[in-house]
Amino acid sequence: MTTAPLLSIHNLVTVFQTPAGRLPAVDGVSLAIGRGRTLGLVGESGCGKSVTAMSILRLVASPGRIESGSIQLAVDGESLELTSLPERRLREIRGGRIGMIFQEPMTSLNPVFTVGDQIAEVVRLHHRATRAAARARALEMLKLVRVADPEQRLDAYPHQLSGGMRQRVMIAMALACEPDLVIADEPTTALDVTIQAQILELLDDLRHRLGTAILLITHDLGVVAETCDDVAVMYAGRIIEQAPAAELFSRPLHPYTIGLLAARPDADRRGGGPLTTIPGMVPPPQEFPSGCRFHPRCSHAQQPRCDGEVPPLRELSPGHFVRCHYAEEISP
Amino acid sequence: MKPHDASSRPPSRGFWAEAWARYRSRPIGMIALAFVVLLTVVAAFAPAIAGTKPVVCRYKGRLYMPCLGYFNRRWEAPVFTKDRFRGTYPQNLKDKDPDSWAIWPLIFQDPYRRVRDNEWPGRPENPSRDEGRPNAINLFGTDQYGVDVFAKMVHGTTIALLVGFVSMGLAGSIGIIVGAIGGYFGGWVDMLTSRLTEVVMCIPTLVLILALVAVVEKPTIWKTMAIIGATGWTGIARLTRAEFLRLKESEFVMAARAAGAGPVRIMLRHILPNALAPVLVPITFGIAAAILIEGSLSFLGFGPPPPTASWGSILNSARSNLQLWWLVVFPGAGIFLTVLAYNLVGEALQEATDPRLREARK
Repeated sequence: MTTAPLLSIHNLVTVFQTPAGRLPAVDGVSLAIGRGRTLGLVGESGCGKSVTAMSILRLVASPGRIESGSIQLAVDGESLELTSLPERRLREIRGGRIGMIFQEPMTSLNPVFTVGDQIAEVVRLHHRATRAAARARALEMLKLVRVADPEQRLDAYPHQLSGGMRQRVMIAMALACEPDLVIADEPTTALDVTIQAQILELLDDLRHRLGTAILLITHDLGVVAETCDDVAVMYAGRIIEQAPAAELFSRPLHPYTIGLLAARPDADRRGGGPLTTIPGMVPPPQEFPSGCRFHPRCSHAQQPRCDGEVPPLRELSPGHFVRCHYAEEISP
Repeated sequence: MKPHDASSRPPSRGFWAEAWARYRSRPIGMIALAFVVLLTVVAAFAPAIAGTKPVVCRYKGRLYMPCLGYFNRRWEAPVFTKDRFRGTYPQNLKDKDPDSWAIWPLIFQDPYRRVRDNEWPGRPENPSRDEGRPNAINLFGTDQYGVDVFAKMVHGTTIALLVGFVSMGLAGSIGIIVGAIGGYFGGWVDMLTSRLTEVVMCIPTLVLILALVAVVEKPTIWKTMAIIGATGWTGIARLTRAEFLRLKESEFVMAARAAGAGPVRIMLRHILPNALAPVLVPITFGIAAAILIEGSLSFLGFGPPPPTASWGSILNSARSNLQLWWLVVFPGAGIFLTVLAYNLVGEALQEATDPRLREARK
């Protein structure tokens, strides 16, 4: 990469200290997002993708904490280390430089305030703005996220809006201060399919208009294919494959990625056989296997290497990284 | 944009507007609320309802409101002291300024002293003891010294409500702050505030007040209120803590943190409004309890010092004159109805603000 990325995560380790022991939910994740780019972070439930996102803003819930690694955000030409930034400075970053969109638009808005107040609050948290100016900005944002009848909606309470509307309001809140990066944690999971498409289209459109980079967290490969420039696939707390989106979909290298793509219902497979599945389940953190964490479910696993040796993340072709000992032999 | 669209949609209603709409549909709650409002009006306008000092009068070319003297001695204009009125206005006003006029309270009776012979033109002295049974002039009768019970009751309303509101205002503030801090920060902070709450819960309020009366030189009604407030916040603190524990994990709080809000803002603006409804209910019950405590204290003779009229002190005077049944019935009914009204308001409030209870009713 020629220019410094907007956000670069290096060897992030986030652990949950529980009575059952130290559980590494995120174990040595490295990521980089360039300005205005969209990075898709894909994985099954419990693979650590949301914890990675929350680690960026240091909002990991209580027994969890960032153990090591660095998270650097480029702000006005200098690089800020988010893992050691004082809480007060970090609050300026949250909402100001990095916006966040949550999965559940039903519960992510405060039920006792109008949506206009909630968007205006974000503005007033980060800029000196009068009440009237913040309200005007809220109206502008509602127009930007294409809420029908924005003047009326400004004074609506969350329970009066549909799920899609609320998610638009969440997006308006996340973008109100024109952040450099938006973290969208499964923004469409709670919505029905037609609304999903609208929201994704909106996010993509706003990215082009505002130049905001997006970290899109999802378990839906279809969503990734439509919107992302780059994709990172996570499995059991580690990134196992990372590549430009087009490359990943045309030439997946890791057996897990190959399995995921094969398990996708596909329009091409007309009248074909049943969907292929990956046998087994994602192990919970206290039962992570040694070596390659995917090996118990992998049909290509060879003992003792896959069991005994953690595969490094290797760059097989420019920009395409994979964490598998036998990637060259497996990939078609 | 499109005006017809805007008018067809029902107007935005917030949580409290919804709760009020539900509250209004409860007749018992509304009757109780009306009674509480009536009491508040009586308390605020007590000197205009029963008293011997003019509400407004013109004396020597100037307007005065001597009735304010019932709230505070100093608010009664000094000119009346200088001109030696000695608290009896009707005759003095006429004698000392023939051009004077006055608007009198609805009932010409005094809560602190016996109304004397001919004080009000053509009216005899208040009866006392056994003769003082309720009649047209003394609606609720008179006590053993000939002081009008109705006037005492009216002025006692101020004390009763003041005790309820001031002590619960104090208890509510302490309880919400302690509960919010404990619930939000958790960990050792929560440990500390929870233990503190438990310690305070063990202190018997009545005994503490009796101890104070024994120790302090001048026990005033304010000190009583302070003690009721300082010991009555534990239930509120525990409820607030529970609400904060629940709400701090909620997604909108996480969203607020992700938007860059600090802890104080999250507690006050994001969590507290959501936690307020369940906390309001024990505060309402607390007002009723505080009124009862004050009544008990006055009955035992540890209430505010004699000139202060309070319902409990009327009951206290009945203790040695049980044959004067009106000294028991009227203040007793006053306390009973007021406490009942506050409890009914609290219950209706609970049903109006708690969706789970509403479901259970159906």
